[in-house]
Amino acid sequence: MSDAAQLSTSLRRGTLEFCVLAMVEREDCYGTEIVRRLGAERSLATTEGTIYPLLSRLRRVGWLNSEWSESPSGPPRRYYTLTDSGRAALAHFRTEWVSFRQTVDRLVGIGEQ
Amino acid sequence: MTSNQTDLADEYLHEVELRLSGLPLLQRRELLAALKEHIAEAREHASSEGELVEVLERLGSPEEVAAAAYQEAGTQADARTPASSAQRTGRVARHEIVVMVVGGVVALLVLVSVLLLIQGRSTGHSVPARPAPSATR
Repeated sequence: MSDAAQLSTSLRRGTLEFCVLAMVEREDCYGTEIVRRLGAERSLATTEGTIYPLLSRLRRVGWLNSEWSESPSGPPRRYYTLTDSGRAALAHFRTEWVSFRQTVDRLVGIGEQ
Repeated sequence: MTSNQTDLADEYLHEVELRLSGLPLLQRRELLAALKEHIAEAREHASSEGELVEVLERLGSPEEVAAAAYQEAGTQADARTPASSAQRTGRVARHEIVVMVVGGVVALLVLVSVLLLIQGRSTGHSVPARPAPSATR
């Protein structure tokens, strides 16, 4: 793995799941929708197929709920909603992230000194 | 949809499945169903084989997808991840603690019985299980 890829992997780890929670917080989403939107964010450098296992984990830990909806064309599709504990986890991340980001900005010299 | 395209998608899913044997059954099934759903949906817009290839490229290689699956499962099966080797170390450590505790108990029992034996002799074969008052004076 190149240094650049290694860096974006490290940065993604621990943050991507909250991007997913925030996306579902705005509106209930189909799995394929979440995957496609995150996959389209170039700076996240995520391959779409790696997001499905993440969705699965978020469901197992109880942050997301999933339900099946009948689709007019094709097989039923899974869509996701945010649970109360998912909402709480996201709120916690938001506070943590702000202070984390400010500290890193200050230490690497791009924020307020 | 041509049969060629079906072959390509099936082959992709098969390649992923081959790499998921270490995952719990339900997680494996869930991921494969999600990928199948993804491909089926993308296909409504992708008519040529070239477009299907792009859909699969965006999904990532079977290796990449499987690696993510193991990582998110926090699994024992993928020995290459640091998490699982830490778990293994944890198991080894627990094993050693059990051995130490059992060994300690055995050593204590041996010590106690030797002491009782000595005491039994010195008090002229009185009741060996009770500390004889005469021995402490």
